[in-house]
Amino acid sequence: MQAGLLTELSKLPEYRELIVNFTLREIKAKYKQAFLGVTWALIQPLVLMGMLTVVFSYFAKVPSDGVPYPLFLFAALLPWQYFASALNRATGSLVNQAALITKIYFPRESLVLASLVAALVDFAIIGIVYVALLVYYQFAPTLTWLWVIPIFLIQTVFTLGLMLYLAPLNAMYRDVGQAIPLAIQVWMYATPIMYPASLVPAAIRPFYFLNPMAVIIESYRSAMLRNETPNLAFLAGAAALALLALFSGYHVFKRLETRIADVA
Amino acid sequence: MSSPAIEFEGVCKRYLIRHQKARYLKDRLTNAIRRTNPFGPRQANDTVEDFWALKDVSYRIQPGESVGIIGPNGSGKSTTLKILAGVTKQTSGRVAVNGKLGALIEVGAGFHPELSGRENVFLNGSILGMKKADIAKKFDSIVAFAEVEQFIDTPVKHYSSGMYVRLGFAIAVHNDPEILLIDEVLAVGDLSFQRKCFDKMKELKSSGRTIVLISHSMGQIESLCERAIMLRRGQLIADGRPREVAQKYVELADGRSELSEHGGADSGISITAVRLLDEAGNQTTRAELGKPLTFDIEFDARRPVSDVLFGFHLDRGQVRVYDSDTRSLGMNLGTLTGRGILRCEIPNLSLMPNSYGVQVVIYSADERPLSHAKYPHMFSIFAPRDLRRLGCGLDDEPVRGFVFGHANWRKLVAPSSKPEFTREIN
Repeated sequence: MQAGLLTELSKLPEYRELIVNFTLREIKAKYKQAFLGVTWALIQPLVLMGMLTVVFSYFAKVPSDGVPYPLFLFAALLPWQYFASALNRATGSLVNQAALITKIYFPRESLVLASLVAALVDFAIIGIVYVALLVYYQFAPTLTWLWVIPIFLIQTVFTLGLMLYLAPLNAMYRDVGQAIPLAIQVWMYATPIMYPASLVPAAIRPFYFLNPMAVIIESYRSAMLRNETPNLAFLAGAAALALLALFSGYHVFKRLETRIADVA
Repeated sequence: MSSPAIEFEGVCKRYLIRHQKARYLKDRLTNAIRRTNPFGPRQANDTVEDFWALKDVSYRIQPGESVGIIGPNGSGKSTTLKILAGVTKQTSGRVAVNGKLGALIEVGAGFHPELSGRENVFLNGSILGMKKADIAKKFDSIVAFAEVEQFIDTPVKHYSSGMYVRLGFAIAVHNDPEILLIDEVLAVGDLSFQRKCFDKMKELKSSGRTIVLISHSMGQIESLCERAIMLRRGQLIADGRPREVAQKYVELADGRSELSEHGGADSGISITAVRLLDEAGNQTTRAELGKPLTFDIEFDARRPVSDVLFGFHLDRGQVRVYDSDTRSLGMNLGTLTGRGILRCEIPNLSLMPNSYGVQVVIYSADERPLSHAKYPHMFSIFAPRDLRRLGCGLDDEPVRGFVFGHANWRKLVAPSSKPEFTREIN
């Protein structure tokens, strides 16, 4: 089965157009009849950022690693939203296409991959705002920023692994679709996004960093805000978990795939 | 042709059906009590039952054949389609599909309503496995075939159902499938488009493509296919020429009808049975072309009803081919009481060989329907051996048209310099 993933990955270019078309459909259909169109992809995170800045920085005076709070928040909120939106999209990806899935065969993973790409597109759009923030605060990138690339890859592998679990499981048990938004919210508070990881009591910190998203988010902050090399032991652990999630998720997806049409 | 295009060998498909009985408060309470007993059965209200959608079905379809798969609802047609399309897997047995498959799926299943026709052509094409460059090359031809040029940049949610089907069909046939699966969508769309689809399918067929049409309309299959496979409750029960299978279909459908009451119990009258009779007055499911047709309509008037009228139609597939009612013939039925029979004799209706459905409706004096009986496949018309000599086409050709009439053709010399096409009809 594990070898299956590699052969599937090598077939990816064949599905490329299908994935692109599914992605375009998701993006176009989402904004088509909205007056503000794609601007909504900016409005939502901006409002969230403004709100969180007021509450956590102005009211609660949460420390922010010595950088302006919006910058501190966005370095974590942006990748988190990519993660959350990918999981949310994946959960519905197969169920929302039941009409198609029960009628015609096409590689099912293309729907999950299209969810990932659609989440990436939203991520790229809001990334422009982050660049604007950096310019506004005159925050110059350093060499440690290069760490962002491997961190981002680890995050994407981990996300895709979870997506491969969620899409078919939700097709079989709709409870998944109910539980996911709640789980994502709980998970968000268990991850250093609105507050710095330094606020977490030392006693529970080893457990706290069992959460791969906590490691990933904290690594982004080390690399981008503190100009430090991330904790490589933690990052290696997160990478191992991400690969485990991807391989096992793919295995589960392939096993459930043929049953989806019978239950969806 | 050594290897068949499609091969089914002992194919079975099992579905698990979970029955969840309606939970009333009473059941909840008894369950609550039962649950307090740790050794008692859990979830006593849920039972899982096996349902065999296909049972040991075997057949081979050779390349270039056009085959119709027919059967009543629940016979396993859709399961067959899903297995062929690779959407689901058989529980046991062997399925082989040799060749590129093109599936004409349910009306617009692959379409996104918010996207334009153009965007949907590319989306749907790629779902069917076509490359972008390939779609772009065939785009104009697809749009022209579907006759939606004017609306190609309109979101498909504004399309009529006919436009949906036309576009779906156009994309599917432009995918150059070696095997084309069609799921009874041709019933939708106007007659000229059906004609066009029919011609396109003939073209595909003559270039060696295989066509599988899944339908519960025998008429559709007879007009498109040279072979019919009939399924019933998951089993193959007939495989042969459409006309022979049609006969079998009618025999099995006999007595199966859809009776519905309008206006509830206070309608006062209902149809209890409709029968076709042979010359000796016995019930039959076959009639010879051109011979009189006699139908008995049994009704039960639970209280005296006055001035009702009976409507009678013959249908082939979705098309009504004959219509008669008691009022337009100036017939007053007076007051009907208790059980009775109304006989309808049609002495000179020459229907083409095919299977036909019957509908009878009783209307009140103000034309409210009171009772409705529908027999989707009640009888078939067969032709005497010498029909061929009457100029009605060859045996293996699908039957076209609804009525039989005999035409004399003669070639005349044009009487003047003005060219004119002259014909004479008897």
